This record gives sequence, C-alpha cells and structure tokens, in this order.
Amino acid sequence: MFYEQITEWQQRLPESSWTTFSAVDVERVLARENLRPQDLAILLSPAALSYLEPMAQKAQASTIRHFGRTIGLFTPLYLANFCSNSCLYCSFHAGNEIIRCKLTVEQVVKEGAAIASSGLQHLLLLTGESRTQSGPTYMEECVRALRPRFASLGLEVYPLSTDEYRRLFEAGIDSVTLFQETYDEITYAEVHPAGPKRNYHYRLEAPDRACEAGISSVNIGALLGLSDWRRDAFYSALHADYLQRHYPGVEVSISVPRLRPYAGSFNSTAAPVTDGALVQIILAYRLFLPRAGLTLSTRESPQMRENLLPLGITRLSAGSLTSVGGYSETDNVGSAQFETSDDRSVPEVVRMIRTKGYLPAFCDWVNMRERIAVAL
Amino acid sequence: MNDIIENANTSDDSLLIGGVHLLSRLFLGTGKFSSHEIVPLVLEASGTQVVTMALRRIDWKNPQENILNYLPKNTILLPNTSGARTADEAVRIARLAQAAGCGNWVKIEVVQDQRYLLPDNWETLRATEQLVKEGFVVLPYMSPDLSAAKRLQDAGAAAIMPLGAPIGSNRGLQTKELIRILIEEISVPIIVDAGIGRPSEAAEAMEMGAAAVLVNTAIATAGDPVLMAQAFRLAVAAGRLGYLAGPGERRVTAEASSPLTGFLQEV
Amino acid sequence: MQIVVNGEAQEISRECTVFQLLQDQAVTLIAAVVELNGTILKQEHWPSTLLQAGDRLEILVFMGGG
Repeated sequence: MFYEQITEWQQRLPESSWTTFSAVDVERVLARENLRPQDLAILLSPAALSYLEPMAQKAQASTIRHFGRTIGLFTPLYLANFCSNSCLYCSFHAGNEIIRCKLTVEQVVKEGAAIASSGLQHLLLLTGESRTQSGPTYMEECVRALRPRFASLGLEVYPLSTDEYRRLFEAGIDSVTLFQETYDEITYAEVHPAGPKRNYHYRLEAPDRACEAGISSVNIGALLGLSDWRRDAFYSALHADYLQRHYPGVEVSISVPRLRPYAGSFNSTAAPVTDGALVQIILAYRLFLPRAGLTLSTRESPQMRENLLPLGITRLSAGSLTSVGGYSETDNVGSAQFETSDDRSVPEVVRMIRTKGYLPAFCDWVNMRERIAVAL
Repeated sequence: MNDIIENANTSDDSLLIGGVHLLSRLFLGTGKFSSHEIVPLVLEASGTQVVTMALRRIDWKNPQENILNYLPKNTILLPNTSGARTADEAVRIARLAQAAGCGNWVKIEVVQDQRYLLPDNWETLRATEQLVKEGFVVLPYMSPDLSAAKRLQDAGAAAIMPLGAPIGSNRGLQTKELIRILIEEISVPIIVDAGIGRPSEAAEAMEMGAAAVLVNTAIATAGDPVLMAQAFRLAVAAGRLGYLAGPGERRVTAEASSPLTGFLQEV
Repeated sequence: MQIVVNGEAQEISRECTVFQLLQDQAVTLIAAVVELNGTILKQEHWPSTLLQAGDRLEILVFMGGG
C-alpha cells in the first residue's frame, strides 16, 4: 500500500533535506529522461526556483508530446452540502451555519439539462459527507438520472467502500476524484478535528478501492497550503506514480487546488503557496508524471489560469458554480463550498483556450459501458 | 587508462546475480571461434567472468574437444538451451547441463523461428517458471516486450536478456527504445544479448543503463578477436562510467524564444 | 545387439557398459552428460550400467555457443 512508501520517504527525505539540493542537482535532473522520486524532490526544492523557465519549456514540450494541444473541459455539479465533517478550511463544515440543502432527482435532471445546454459533456458530481442525506443510494439515483445526458460522469465525494464504488461504477460513474487534502498525518488530524474524515488511512486507500472496483480514471491531489506544500506536493505526485504502477489500466490525474477564502476563519500556519510555488509544483508534477492529466479548477483567477495553461495543464473546469442548485436557479440554492475566482462563462473560457493556441475538448472520452453491454 | 577500467570495475559497482558479485559487465559467448585455442586468450583480454556455451550431441565420427577444457577454473558457466523449440525441451537441456556439473545458472533460449532466430517469449516464460522452481539461476533470452519481461521477473528470473537485434546479425541496438523501457520498468538486471556488433554499441547499451551485455559473434568473427575482446572490455567500462556519471542535458534550442514563466515577475 | 546412440542405430558386438562405450569412442569424459532411455544417467553409474539391446542413448558435450 502507498502508506509504506510515505513512511519510507519520510526517513529518506527529512525536513532538513530540502535545502541540501544544489543547482547542479537540478541541472542533472533536467538532463534525465525519466525521473525518480529523488528527482521529484529536487524539482520541488528551493534550488529549482531559479530553473522555472527551463523546467517550463521542458514541461510544455512534454505535455504537447503526450496530450497534443488539447484542453479537456468539465464542470462540477454540487448535489448536496450536508456534511458531518469539521474540516477547518471548508464552508461545508458541520459547525458552519450555512444554507443546507440537497437536490431532488428532478432538480438534478434540471441542473444537468442546464449544464448540458452549454455543450459540456464531462460532469463531476459532488456532495458533502453525509451518509444519511447523500448516501451511495442517493448518488446512484442521481447518476442514473444524469447518465443519458453526459459522455462521462465523475464522482468527488467522501471515500467509499469497494462495493459502493462498484455499485456507482455499474450505475455509470467512470472517474473518481478524491483529495487526501494533506499527506502529513499531524496536520491532517489538526484540520479534521471531528467526523468520519478523521480516518486518514481510509481516505488514503480510497483510490485503490476505486481502481479495484473498475473505475477507469482517478484524480488525486493535496489541498496546497494546508501543510508544507513541498512535502504535500511530493507525496501527491508519489501517490499518483504508485497508482500508475499498480493499476496500469487506470488513467491517473492530479489536481492543484490552492487553499481559497471560504465562509469561516481558518488560517493555515503553513507557508502560503505563492504563484511561483504553484508554478513550481505544476512543473514538477508534469516532469515527474509525463502521462498524468493535470487539472486546474476555477479556484484560480482568469489571469492565472491563462498563464498556467501552457505549462502542462490538460483539464480545466469551466462555468463552475460551487453552490447547490446554482445552474438552473432552482428554488433552493445552498451555500457555496468555496469562492471561485474565474466566473467566466463556458464560451468565454473556450475563447481563452483558443487564443492560447489550444483546442478546447468538450468530450474526449465517452463511457460506452452500457452500450457495449447491450451490444454483447 | 587502466585506472579508468579499474574504477568501472570496483566492487562498489559490482553486478549482483544469483548471489554472485560480478566485477565484469561483459558476458561472452564461445560460439563461432576459429579454434578452441583462441578462447582463453579472448577471455583474458575481455576480462569477462561469465561465459556461455551450448550442449550438443557429440559427433561420433569426429569427436570434438569439450569447450570446458579451455575455460579458466573460476569462470561462471552459463549454459544456454539453444536448440530448444519448446519450454519442455529447454527444461530438459537445463537439467542435462546441470547433471554435467555446470552449476545452476542457465540461459533460457527457446527459438522456433528459424529465419530470424527470434525467441518465443511464451515458451521462455514457461521454462523460466519451471526452472526457478527447481532452484536454477535463470537468465531468459527474450524479445524485448514489457509485459513478458514483467512476467519473467515475477516468475523469478535473475536477470532479463532482451535482444538488440537478431542473433549474429551484428546490427546493433535495433530495439533500443524497447530496451530503454525495460531498463526503466524492470528491477532485475537487464542484460542486452544478441545483435551488438561493435564496441560503440556495447557502450551505448551500458550508457542507457543496461546492467551488462552479452557479446559473441562480434568478437568471434572479428579480424583479430583478442584485440576486439579488449575493445569491448573498454567500451563496456566506458559506457558504464558514462551511465554512473549521469550525462548532461542535450539542448535542442539554445534559448527559449518566448518565456513561459515571465508572468511571475510581472506586477 | 543394436542400440540407438544420438538417434543413429549402432551395432555392439560384446557386452558393454556405458563407460566402456564412451572410452571406445574416445569421448572426453569431462562434463559429458548421458541420457539413457530419457533419464539422466549420473557419471558415477556409467561403469556399472550395462547396455541392453534397444537402449536409446543421448551423449552430449559442451560446445561453443552464445
């Protein structure tokens, strides 16, 4: 399991080691074709700061070689925001007095129709962690209702059991997004003071369970800024590498969410993730994991998204609303999970991608599972 | 120059196979030499420690001398299973070789295709599984295919020996890209076998990260096999040093035309 | 009596052990290996193994090879 790799690398890469790398180390890594975990650490170290430009050139060339000049588009759909967790950094925090609601299946269909009318074909479904309000059976109903309208459906919810992932896979889910938030167990315990999310290991092993259940694409990541970003970025990428090696048939991608303002008052004690740091993380991910997808959400500003795009991003969310029931303006609009920075509409994002010389892809994969089953 | 060779051959950089620390990363085949008498001279010039040979029916009418009489006592013998067309035949040959007192190393070679002499990975895997169970140190000769190599590794192969080009063709590393992938993905040593025709090609394989190379035809059919053996010894050592040193970056462009990270300095 | 050696029929006039057969043919005995009717015959058993009519023998030695 991946946890063994974390313990191993905690020994090999103590806190103090980040400053021991030199410019020569960085140059040597840049000369390599295939990077090892120690090379990843070097690219994330302070020594690599003065090499961002050559790293970017290499990252861009590698991305174009592996993915072409294409950017996949998706949008999130929040189904419910009831939550029994107390994540200090999240608006859905059980203790926060926000408007709680969940969509009925009819409302889900209405939201789906509103999104589909924008042309988007990849949908990511989200809920808070509430087994009573938004349990697997509820998710399954929503998935079956949305399935005919979309090319692929992803799930970004609390960690599930293998059987539950299998049920949702059968219902039509083909990708699972799940962020560990932080790989540092101490910070993890601090920022998750109550609720089922306290179980670090159950969350860490969720991508394994999803892969075993037949899910063909998993997206992982750390919420950058919660803890030491160098370490979290290192273990996120190592985790993606572990998944690629253990589940060769699964497409592994990684997200780069930065901590955003939200309804609450959490201030991380960790160093903030500056723009430069975010660039360094994206480039290190790209160079270490040349065939992994890199996802950028609307947490970043339009300006930043444009600048980050050519560095190795392969997927963007567009036209995102993080509140429950926002797309079709149903009667009950629940509070948003976080403030988005890029409020541009889908056509505006499409135009931006074109101007940067890339092709926006509304659909780069169609889940043919049921159709194949029928044909057989 | 001797220092360089010595450095490449220090015990710090030994190659561990079947519990033996090898100092030389050049394996030698003993076929196609003009006479048995030249073999010990070639072995000495090459510095090799592992030598392959084949088991054959003796020719009643014209009994040839046993090649073993010409190999130094401390040589590690790596009998091959050439002539085998199936896994069962390879297993049989391996057992015979062991009965002949050759130790427990074996190079699996199962070939059905008689035109290109390309190995049958499927039969090779079957033979590997069986012989590992019987306690052999198994080095399978194979067509460089990642899935097959992984299965061989899982079956307990002590090293994997992908071909660079068809046996005896002297065409070099035609399968370079596939071998590169094996080196990257497989954790047991990758020994490039077959096809290496020139010292520069042996150096290239070593520089890529191959653990060793096996050479036969290129030396046996050279104008001066002893001199060629020495050339290969130096090439293998040079390639290994190049790999250990970590080559510098090859630059396609001198300078980026439009900076991608310029925005970080703005504001 | 007739035996088969390496696939070829051979006539032996007298009673003969495997060891004697090999000596008669001036085969180097170092690291030769003998298979008698499909089973490996260890070298220590060569002198005590009498050949029978119809025996199939494989006699192998090491040659150069890559």
